[in-house]
Amino acid sequence: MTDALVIAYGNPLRGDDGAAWIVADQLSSMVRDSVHVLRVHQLSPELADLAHDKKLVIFVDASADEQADGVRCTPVAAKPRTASFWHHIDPEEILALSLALYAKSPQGFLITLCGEQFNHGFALSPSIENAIPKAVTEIRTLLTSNGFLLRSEVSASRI
Amino acid sequence: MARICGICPVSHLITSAKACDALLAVRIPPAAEKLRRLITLAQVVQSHALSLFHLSSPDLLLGMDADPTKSNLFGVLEVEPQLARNGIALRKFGQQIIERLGGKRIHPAWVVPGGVSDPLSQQDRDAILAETPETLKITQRSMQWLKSVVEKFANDVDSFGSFPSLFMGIVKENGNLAFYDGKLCFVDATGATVADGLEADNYQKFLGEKVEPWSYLKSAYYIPKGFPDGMYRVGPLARLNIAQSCGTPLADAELQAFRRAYGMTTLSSFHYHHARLIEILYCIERMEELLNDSEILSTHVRAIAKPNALEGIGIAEAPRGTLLHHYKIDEQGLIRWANLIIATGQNNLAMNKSVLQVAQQYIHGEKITHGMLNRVEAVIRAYDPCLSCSTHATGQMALKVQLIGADGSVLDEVAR
Repeated sequence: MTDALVIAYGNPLRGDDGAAWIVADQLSSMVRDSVHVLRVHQLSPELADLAHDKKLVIFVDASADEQADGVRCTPVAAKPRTASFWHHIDPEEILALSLALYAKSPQGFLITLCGEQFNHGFALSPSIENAIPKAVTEIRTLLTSNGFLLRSEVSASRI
Repeated sequence: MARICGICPVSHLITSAKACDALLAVRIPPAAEKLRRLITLAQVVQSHALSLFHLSSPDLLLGMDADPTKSNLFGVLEVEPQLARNGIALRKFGQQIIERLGGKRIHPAWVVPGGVSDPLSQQDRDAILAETPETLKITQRSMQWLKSVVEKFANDVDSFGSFPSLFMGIVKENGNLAFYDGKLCFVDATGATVADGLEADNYQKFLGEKVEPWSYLKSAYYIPKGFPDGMYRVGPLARLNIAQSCGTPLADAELQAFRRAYGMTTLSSFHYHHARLIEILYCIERMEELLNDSEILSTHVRAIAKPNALEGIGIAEAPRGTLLHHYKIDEQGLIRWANLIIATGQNNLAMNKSVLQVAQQYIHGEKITHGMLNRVEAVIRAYDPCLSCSTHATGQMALKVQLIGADGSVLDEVAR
């Protein structure tokens, strides 16, 4: 368990819901091979297979429930779900599946970006545009504080 | 188009690309067609695995009267962890093929008008082939499990979306199961052919779409029979009811057993699950055939052209059923009009009728029970509806069931 996994999820066709993908794009040019960055439309059970052998898993999502201009970093612990029906699964459930299937549960965090508009289209709200660099900084801090080396700012800006 | 949905983006890509092929008026290279077939089959495997193992196996393993807080994948893990692992293995197999071909697993941009953007490498071909034997074994083990549990639901099968209807899908020229291309075919509840050899280009002559004020979904129907009598079902059960055979040995053996057990035309939507597993078997066998064809490694995978027609229609079988994209463009090639007919919309009338049938069977007195509500959920799940692309709604939709008395008063109401 030496690598890290960043799972950015959302739908770029739905305004602010695509913010996590932008965070992932920016982050991809900053991280080394030990940090894997995924962009997905929604969380699905087999992500547990990718997550179980990681030291650290960071989920990135946009939400309409957060404070304006906000980026929130929340620790995520394994928690089995108590309902079924939808094609929907939470970060807690990914870690719980990892624990149940592989007896391993990596350390997890959820980075939530505040969103305002989730209508059809690519346009982002001003508040989520402000939140994106803050989220990138938050993830960089999480990675470095857990021992993951990043590429230098200079090489990242060239990419 | 792929970004409409995270569950079956490949199906939208394939169908969209086929509509664009029509706009370009090109015939795509043979290797590109084989590669498109391959990614289509991988998509079916991963989507069916999600539906059967992750969403519906709790109903089948834990029963319809199970505690709803336990009736999920974690409940399955407690009772039969290998089943959950099988589901993850099959889904991962399909996803990894999509990733190998398309460069990424969720929204690959590899399928393009005129073919595909990049050829398949021998290394990737060999890697996929190396995984197929184990994947076939997992599917066959899962088939044995499914057959053993279906027997426990004898009382449910007949009230689980079991009624006469039409079935629609595409079939090959020889009448066999098809996913990538073919002609549209309708059969009735007896298996008799109602119409076949139908071209997707003429769909507006036989496929109607009705908008109801109480649903976000359009309701598709077969125009010659009118609305709502033209109700038809699509998806795995419909495809197996229509096809002469699958065309691969293991899947055909299972199809014969399926028909011996339930008849040549299976009417109960409960058996969508079984049909899904037979299709997974077919897809893996067919992928092996395609990968063992040396032409699939050809580097000529794309035909280049400018727009040559102002209107294009593409059709393919998505995991949930027939998918159709219809575009109109201007002289500059910009899309000015589009219509998408989605599998879930085509099953809308049948899903509603299935809910009614469950309610009639399981509503007694003036209270809605957990068992009844579980069955409403389960019968909808049998169709594996996907609301991302099939509705015009935004936000999360809740399940809300009202029991209304003869005088119009609400006797009970339950929401999940």
